[in-house]
Amino acid sequence: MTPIISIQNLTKRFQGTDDGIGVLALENINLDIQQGEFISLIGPSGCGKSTLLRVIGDLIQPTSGNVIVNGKPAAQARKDREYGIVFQNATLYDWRTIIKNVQLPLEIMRFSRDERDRRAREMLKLVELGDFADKYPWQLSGGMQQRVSIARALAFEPKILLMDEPFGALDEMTRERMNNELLSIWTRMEGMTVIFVTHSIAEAVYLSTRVVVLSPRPGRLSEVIDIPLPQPRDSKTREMDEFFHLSTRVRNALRFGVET
Amino acid sequence: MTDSLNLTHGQSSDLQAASASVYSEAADIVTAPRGMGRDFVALAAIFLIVATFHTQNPLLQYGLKFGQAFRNATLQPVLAITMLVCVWVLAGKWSALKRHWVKLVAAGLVGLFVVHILLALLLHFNILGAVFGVPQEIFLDQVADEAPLDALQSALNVSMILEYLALVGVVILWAPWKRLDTYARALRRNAAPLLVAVIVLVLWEVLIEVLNIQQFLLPRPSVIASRFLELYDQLVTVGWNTFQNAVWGFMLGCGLGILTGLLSSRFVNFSKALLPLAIAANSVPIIAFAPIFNTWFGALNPGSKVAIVGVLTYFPAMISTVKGLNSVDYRSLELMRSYAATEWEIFRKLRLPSALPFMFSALKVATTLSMIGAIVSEYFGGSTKGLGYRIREDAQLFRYPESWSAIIVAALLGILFYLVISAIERGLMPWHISFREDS
Repeated sequence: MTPIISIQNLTKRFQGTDDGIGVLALENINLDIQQGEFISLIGPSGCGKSTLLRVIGDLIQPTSGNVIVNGKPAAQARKDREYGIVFQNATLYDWRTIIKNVQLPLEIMRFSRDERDRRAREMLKLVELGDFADKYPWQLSGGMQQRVSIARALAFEPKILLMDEPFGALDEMTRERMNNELLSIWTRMEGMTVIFVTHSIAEAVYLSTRVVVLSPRPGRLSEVIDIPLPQPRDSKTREMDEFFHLSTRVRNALRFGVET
Repeated sequence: MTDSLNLTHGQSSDLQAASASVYSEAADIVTAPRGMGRDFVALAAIFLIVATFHTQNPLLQYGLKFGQAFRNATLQPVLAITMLVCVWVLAGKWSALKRHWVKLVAAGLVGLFVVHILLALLLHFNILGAVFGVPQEIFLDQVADEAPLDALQSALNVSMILEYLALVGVVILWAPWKRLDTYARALRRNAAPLLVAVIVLVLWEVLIEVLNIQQFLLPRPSVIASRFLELYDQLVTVGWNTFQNAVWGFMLGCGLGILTGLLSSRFVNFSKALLPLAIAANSVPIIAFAPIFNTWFGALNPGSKVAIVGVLTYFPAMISTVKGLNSVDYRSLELMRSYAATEWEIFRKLRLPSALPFMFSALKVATTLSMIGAIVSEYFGGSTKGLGYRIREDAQLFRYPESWSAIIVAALLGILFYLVISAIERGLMPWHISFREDS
């Protein structure tokens, strides 16, 4: 089966200001991702996992190597609007109401007015914020704002959802609930591939079908760990022996990366 | 879902921090009484209703002293449309309005006045005149008749009644009696500065008496106040003349400033070439050019005053616009990029709305600058019917209480100008953080 995303010999060097050498953020990354997978990128701070996510989404250019999405370069995939993106902070536009925020990508992609309204309402219902359509972002809590940004990312049904520590700023309780919601959305959006950047081992193991562990700077793939936990996952999943076992494997992989 | 509505007011956004940093001091001080935005809008609306009433009645252009103030009614359409914005802000959402019939009636009264003014101003059609059978020409021609037509007088009376009703409507929509809590809070928060102000006034009054300071050097506040009341009519006339120069200059300078700001964000090379010059020029004391402008345009030509005000307000408006357009959060930009949005869409849906707060903080500073420009430029000669001329002339003739009275008028007009711009800001960006407290 051909992968939906194929990362080949990817290297990213940020140009330094004076020395001309710059900072090597990612070195020789090779990774194939199949359609419908839920991939977590995990690694210590500054290992380049957000950079990797942005290169995949064609928001920054790699220094060398390729990202092939659906058989075409990432730049083309971006122009074909195959990516939905969720950042750590919700990045809602203050001057738009909640529903208008969700409609933003639909406006740019020239959906009809009726279609925009229908999809936005449907998505808000999906993230259980149907009653907040006409509020402004500042009237919602951080968790609710993040759900709006997920609804916005999903509104145009992208094939690939890129998430950059989306729940990093939330408290533990909210984060676990959001994890469950995200999983149920992923299940419902059949065939959607998710790439999820996180700091949290538990979150990565709980959500993913595979966890990609990056080493500290420069970021290299130190290990790719399959997570064969049964679907659907719920609070019982977190209590399984297998869950602890896999968490330990991820933790060891991270530690190994630090020691080298 | 158990997330509760998060309505904390204290959360400060980057936007606010950024907009405050641009021309912070002046803007901060005046916006300090937070939560009173609605009151500002109401005051602006009242000012505009009174001003438009007196600009649109031909009868008031002669004879009546107060009416002389508004002889050159060049600003009528601007005033009328601004008034519309104020009323629109005050009335609020239709869904909320239609539940209270009293408010609905109040909004209707104001609306009636606005329609009546707009018909007369923009379409040159005075509906009241038509009703009372006054030929349109009589309204348009400047009738200097000692005894006006009865019909004209009736139309005028009805127009005046409409004005009063509109004022009542604004007060009902404003509902200051429901906002006593806010005032009490504002009073408590600003108790110290108010107290200091009162103490200074009292000391001023008393010390001049006690220390036996010559009246002409520094008149007592009570003397200034009584002169102010005596000269009120004349002062309003000259004040209005100067105010017109300020407003035209403001529109010219800020309009061009915002326009070039927008262009320079679109054409980066243009911006690179222009922006350093603009910033350098901004530190030039532009008011120093006033005598030269007088020579260029002719001292008696209001154009010289307008030009000074225009140049004075141009740079802040332009720099803030550029700053605002470039202060967009990089994640918001990445989001747009991920949608493969065009530059134009990014501009319209992201850059422009996030630049609005910056533009308005510059516009608010520009209101003050424009009054300064309009007054100071008159110090170097020009029409004798301007505030600057009055201040200088009265001071030279040792009529200090008169000078001080003129300064009071200048201050009041400056404040009203500021309020009007704040009201427009509120209308255009109801989402902005500084208006959240009382929504």
